[in-house]
Amino acid sequence: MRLEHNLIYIKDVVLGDVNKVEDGVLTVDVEGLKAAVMTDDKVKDVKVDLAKPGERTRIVPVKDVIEPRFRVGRTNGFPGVTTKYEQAGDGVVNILKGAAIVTIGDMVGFQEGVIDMWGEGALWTPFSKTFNIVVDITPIDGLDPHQHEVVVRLAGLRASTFVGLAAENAAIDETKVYEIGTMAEEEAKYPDLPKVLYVQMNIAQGLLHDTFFYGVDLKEIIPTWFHPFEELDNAVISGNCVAACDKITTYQHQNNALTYDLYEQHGKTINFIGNIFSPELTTLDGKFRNCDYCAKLCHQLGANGVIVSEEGYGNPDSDLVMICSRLEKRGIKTALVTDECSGWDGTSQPLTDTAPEAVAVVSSGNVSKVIDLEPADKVLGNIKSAQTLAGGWDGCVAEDGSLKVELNAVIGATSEIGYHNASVKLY
Amino acid sequence: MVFVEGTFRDVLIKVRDMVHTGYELISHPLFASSRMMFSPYRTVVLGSKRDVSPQIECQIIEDSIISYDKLTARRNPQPEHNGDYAKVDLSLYEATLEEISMLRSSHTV
Amino acid sequence: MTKKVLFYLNQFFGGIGGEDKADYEPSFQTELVGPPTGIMPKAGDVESVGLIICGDNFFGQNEDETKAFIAKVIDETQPDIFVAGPAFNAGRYGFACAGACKVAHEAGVTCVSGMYEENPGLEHCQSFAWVAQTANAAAQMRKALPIMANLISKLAAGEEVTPEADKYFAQGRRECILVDELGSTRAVKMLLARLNDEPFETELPMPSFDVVEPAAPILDLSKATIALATSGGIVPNGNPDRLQSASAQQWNKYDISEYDQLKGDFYTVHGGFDPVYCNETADRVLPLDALRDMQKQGKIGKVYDFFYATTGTGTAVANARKFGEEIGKELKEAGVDGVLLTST
Repeated sequence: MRLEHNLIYIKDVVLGDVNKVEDGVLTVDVEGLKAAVMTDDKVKDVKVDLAKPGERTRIVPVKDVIEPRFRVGRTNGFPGVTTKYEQAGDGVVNILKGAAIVTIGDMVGFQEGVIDMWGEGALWTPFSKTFNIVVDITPIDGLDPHQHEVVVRLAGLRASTFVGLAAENAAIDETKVYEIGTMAEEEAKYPDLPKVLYVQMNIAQGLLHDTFFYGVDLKEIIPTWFHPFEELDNAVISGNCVAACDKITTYQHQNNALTYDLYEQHGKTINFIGNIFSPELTTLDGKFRNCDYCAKLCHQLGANGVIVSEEGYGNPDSDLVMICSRLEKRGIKTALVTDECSGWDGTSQPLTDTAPEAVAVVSSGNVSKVIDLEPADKVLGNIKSAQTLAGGWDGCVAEDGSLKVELNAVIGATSEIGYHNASVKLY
Repeated sequence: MVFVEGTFRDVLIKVRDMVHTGYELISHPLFASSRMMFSPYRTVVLGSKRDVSPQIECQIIEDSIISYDKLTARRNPQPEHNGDYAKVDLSLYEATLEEISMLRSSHTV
Repeated sequence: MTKKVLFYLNQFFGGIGGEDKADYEPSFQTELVGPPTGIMPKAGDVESVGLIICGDNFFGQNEDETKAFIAKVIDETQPDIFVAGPAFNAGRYGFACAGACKVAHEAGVTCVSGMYEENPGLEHCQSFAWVAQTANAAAQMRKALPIMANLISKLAAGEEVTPEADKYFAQGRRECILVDELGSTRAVKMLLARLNDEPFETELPMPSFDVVEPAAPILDLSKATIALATSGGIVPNGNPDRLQSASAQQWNKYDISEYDQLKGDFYTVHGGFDPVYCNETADRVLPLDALRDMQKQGKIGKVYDFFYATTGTGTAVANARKFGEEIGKELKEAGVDGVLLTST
């Protein structure tokens, strides 16, 4: 498979009446964008705003982040979701690199998910560095949270495709080519390199807790081997709403950092033989089956090493250590990526579910770390959600209006696919 | 069906007591996201009572209580969200029942 | 900016005298003696504001008074860094250093000490003080002082320290920080190191547990000899063997062949729980009464003639393991079939 990412670097974004890129400045056709979102008759209203790095702007509650793209010469959108199914991973994509669609929608009142574009808050989210086109979607009355989530999820995808039209004829700044042949071909090329798989665990549990592959709900599959480039080409989307700090947004699927970094080593130090989804289910039987099956698949494919990334916190921790011990018992070396809860002061035992086999673990941060968010000049989204961010404990709102929040509430803060640079150090 | 009049934590304690006396732990006691730890409601599915309590089930419920305590140590309740938490818990419980039926019922007469 | 350092020593290292001077009342002086004179030249951009000297017994017996004295000196001298010890493996001195550090810590002063890993004082200050790892005896003073001086120098300059490079006991505090590399890059590097059998360092060490293989069940309890053992500090009234109330250095055994219950003749010296109910009836911790009943009913064969006791609280793992091996060996040689081990 061969995937080309044509990168168009975005240095600024403005609202206008046509989609285009000139000298790195992205113009967004606002009315066109609204119309694209309103094609769903369940959308009552849509508001479009911009949030740029450094501005004292707060976005909350963020539903999803999506990268605007144009799939050249192919169906343009998300195969199996916003377009007919089409195999992804082979072809050319023009990407507005540095821009992002950020959707807002509060399906439930307790939803968190904040992006601060400046100050301390900005340090803790990767999406303070992108030029954000913020799409606030209000659905018609009377939808239940299920329907509301679907409406906002699809509206965000359509918005990203619409804005991505600006990439169709824009000047390309850089092209990245990704190419991996069949297993037999790669094995012949790199007979001496260790074979490495990437196991991506995904929340697959129901309302506000779902992930989709070509539109297929991951709850309904057993672990599946797939080509790393499919995910980099819009085949995976997020239906997650609540695990703000450690959910994988659609943007992070489109740009899976572990896939990028493993590909970087392909043909040099490793033979990267693919990705596996391991859905995180709710029942123990389901977990045992998926963890066993996942380890079996890795073994069957002849992997020497595996990286396992988690999504979420709580019941997925059980899956993570079970997959790890099953792999290690089969003689496959693993490295895990997970976040931890070591309490406000960092003195709690970080992982609860533990296995002696989990000897190589990357910590993507402490979800209970408390950070200060200064008062914002502008809040995009729901001021009530901003208040929900606060109010979690005594003394979390200071007199000057600044908030203390846990990293829990911050989008992508402790990304367990390693999309951010948070870590934990022992003193 | 056992209703526990109390908090999420009280439900976990009840589950622990039942698991240790042999009830099968069918669904994981925790949610999959840290935010849901602050839910005042939690539905956990248990099976029938057996003569043994497998170590893995005991370990999962005990670990769950520790995880719960760590994350919620400093939290105050936010009753204004109770209705939404109840909705999500119910919906996730329904998904669990579907998962169970996919695993089992399709093969029973 | 030059940082101010205040030192704390016991009577011995402060040059007052040995065990006979252990009840020396706390005093303050600006002139340095003993270990601080070895620390200062290598401690970087710091100046001394003086030295507190206190007898170890005095500290132990007049803790509140001593702490008030230390707090007063801290208030008057306004140090940035408080340096206590090194105490090596001296227990009372270690406790005193830990207690003194606590006062300084509560006053917002950075604390540095030096101890051997089994010093019972360590656990009382490890979480907030920077405790250099030292040998167990003062003969190794020359090695201990540079480690402490290095810690002081770096902390004074606001430099990063790590338990491995700077040889201190990890405080166990996991600080969430931002690093240069993405998590994904770190994970790939870690896996590569594993695949190439190169050294790597996990960012999340698993707790290590001792796994004890359960013994085979006793098939016929009615013929078995059962012994009693406890970490609950049960001893005969008066504590004739002076078992420690915490951080036990010993275990003891007592003949119970003539007793039907412990009530009235035994009590606990354990310092880690409220002893009221145990002291009313020590069988509540070590159930001799219940075992005698079972013996009379023929449910068990015999209660072994001796029980074994130590104190669990604060006891070093290495000591506990040693006690266990010694007690286990005796019981095995005595032909005991099973042991009822109670904790508190």
